[in-house]
Amino acid sequence: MIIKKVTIENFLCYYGIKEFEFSKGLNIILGENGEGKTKFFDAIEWLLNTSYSSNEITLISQKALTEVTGRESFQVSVKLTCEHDDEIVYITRQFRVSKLKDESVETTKSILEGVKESRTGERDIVDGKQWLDIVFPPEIRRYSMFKGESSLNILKEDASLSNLINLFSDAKNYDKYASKIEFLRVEAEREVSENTRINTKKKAEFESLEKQIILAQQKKSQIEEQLDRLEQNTNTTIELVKEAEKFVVNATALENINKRIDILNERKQKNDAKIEENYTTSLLDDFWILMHFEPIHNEFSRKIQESEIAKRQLQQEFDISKGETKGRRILQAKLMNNSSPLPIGVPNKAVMVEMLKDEICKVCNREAKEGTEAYQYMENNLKQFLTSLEPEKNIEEDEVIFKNNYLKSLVNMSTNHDTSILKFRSVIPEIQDKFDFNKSREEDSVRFQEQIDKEKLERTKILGDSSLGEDRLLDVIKNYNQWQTDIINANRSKVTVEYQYKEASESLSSKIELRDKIGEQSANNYLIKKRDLLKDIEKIFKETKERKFDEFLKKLEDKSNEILAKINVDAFLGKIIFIKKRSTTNHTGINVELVQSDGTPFISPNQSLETSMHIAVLFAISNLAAGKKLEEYPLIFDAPTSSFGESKTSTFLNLLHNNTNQKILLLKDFVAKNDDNKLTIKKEFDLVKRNKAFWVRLDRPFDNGKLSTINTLVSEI
Amino acid sequence: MSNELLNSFLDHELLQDKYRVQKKDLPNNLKDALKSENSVVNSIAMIVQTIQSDSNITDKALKTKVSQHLNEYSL
Repeated sequence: MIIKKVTIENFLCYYGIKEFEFSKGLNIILGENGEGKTKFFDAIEWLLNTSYSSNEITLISQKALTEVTGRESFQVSVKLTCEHDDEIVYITRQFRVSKLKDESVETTKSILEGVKESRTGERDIVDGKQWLDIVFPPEIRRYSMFKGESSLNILKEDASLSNLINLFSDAKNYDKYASKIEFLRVEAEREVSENTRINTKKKAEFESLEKQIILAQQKKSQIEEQLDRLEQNTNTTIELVKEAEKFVVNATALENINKRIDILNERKQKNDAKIEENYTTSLLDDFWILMHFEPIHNEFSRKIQESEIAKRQLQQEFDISKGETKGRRILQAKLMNNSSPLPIGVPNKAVMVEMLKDEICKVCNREAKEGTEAYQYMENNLKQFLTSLEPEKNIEEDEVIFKNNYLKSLVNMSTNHDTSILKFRSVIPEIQDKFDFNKSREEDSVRFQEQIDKEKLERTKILGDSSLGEDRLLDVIKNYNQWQTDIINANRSKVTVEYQYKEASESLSSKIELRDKIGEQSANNYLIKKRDLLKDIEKIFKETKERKFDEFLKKLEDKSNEILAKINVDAFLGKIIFIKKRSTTNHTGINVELVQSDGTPFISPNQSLETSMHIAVLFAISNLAAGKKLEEYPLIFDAPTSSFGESKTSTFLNLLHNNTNQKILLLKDFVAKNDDNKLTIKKEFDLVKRNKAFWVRLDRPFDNGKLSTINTLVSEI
Repeated sequence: MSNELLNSFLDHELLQDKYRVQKKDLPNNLKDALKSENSVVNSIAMIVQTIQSDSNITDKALKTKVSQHLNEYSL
């Protein structure tokens, strides 16, 4: 079947009637995203998927709806004109749209119409659905239309291979032989059993064996089912692991980043906890308020000293004027240059005793040996001090110059502060240290925050690169590790169950052998020979079927690799291998894998390589179908090569051109914007070999907020 | 198609290993295979001919035909 023309009328963005006239070979439809490519694919799908009821209202061109006025009506349709067995068949799916007075819209149910045109030009109306299934059988459509790269892996489903074999392989012819001969063999065995039961002397033993055989068969089947389940679960898990492998790099990176962020947050918290900025408390508790006390104290001391000197001078003058004895004593104490002597008791008693003992004047730091004048002086001073402590009996007490001795308290205070001053001196460096420490911690905190922000940015990038959200990506790692363990455990269990299966099979065989032996001694010779012959023919039929299946797989594998080599010129090639897998269903499933030249699996191939592999398998199937001289069917792809670069797409298209089967490809490649910001087709497209090419683009200008202004134009290029 | 099927079945090693039929003695078409004196060969040929001529034949009908055939060839 060849699609000669597709006519789309008032369907979604296709306003009015738009036609695509296709030829054999390679047909390419170019278009930017959102300009009508996928709507073309949707139109064909709508036409072909007649079993699905559609919501017609959602398929109407909004522009057409806006253009009609009053009670007018118009048609929405997709028409396929195809050539089949030298006849032209027109299949149209259409419905009518009416606009009512109140501007509401009414549609008829869509119907499928068919018209067949003979070679002589005679036209007959035919059943649209029936003829659609004739020209484009549903089982073929499954392998003819592909939307996006992910749809290309057609062998993912277990039943797909069986379907393909039914369509394209010789193996399908052997299926009925295998099932029919099995029936004949079972019947022959039953006949032998019945005959033996009647004739044998060992009837009881025979019947017991028959019962045992039934039980052994049941056991074998149960183990087989168990094995199948194990196999299926392992395959499912392997698929999950493969799927997870696409994300595992990002997931691992994300997990590591999250760990680093946690560590950094912890460090930052510890660091921040060290910062103490309770300066107000320190003002009083740690005497920070006294950081500038020393100069104040110095001034205070100086003033007290001055006052003391002044007081002593006044006292001296008073004493001179008051009495000779006291005056003499004062005169004796008069120092050189008329300076005032130190007050009595300075230095104090303990210091003076110490100086006399050590024979050193520790005030002027000179030696004062006993008997010397200096020693004498110190001794006199001590005596004077001791005398001063005694009550002055001879001095008149009625006349004093200073009634109170407040200055003494101030002097004591000053002396006390002298000792405290050392402590207050350390406040400034302490404050400085505290501020330096806090500043350093704050800088560390900023550094930690910068590192955290950097890690978070990296995390955002990873999440941006992945189609999964953070939670699911983190689940990938958890599941990935668990699945790996599951596979190991399943493989271990498989070994055990396989052993049990082998034992059950052997047990069953020995019982059958024993039963057959009794049968052979007792049953009719003809029945025995018939059973044995049919057993052998069953073996021949079943094993031949298996061989044919393997031959088909081998051919498919070889052809796929041949095509892959052409698609992946100058790139990593690998080898496609088909691995048969057990299945509980009647279908024989296969895994399609890519391996390296040394046979090791190619883990996580990129999307481009995976797409190449799937396309290679698809074309291999199409090629084998052509080899069987079956009816040709078109292949329709929407954006099959999104992950290819433009250069690889060109190579791929040229490869497709070499194959004469009809193909319709919808691509967004080769469309660019020129200097005036207008869409244009790149010159590189001139080098692409094709049979027909179209460009779909929106009629400009349009209002991107109003669907009623949208109309896709179609031009042949 | 019938000959293709028949030949693929007759290609099985069981015919040589168990039934001692030499490759060169194997018939290559349905007509000759039906005339073969070897019970496996003519039985296979008979089953192929029956199924190919009536792809909707029931299991029971086939059983009857095969039984008749084996009786005639007095196994």
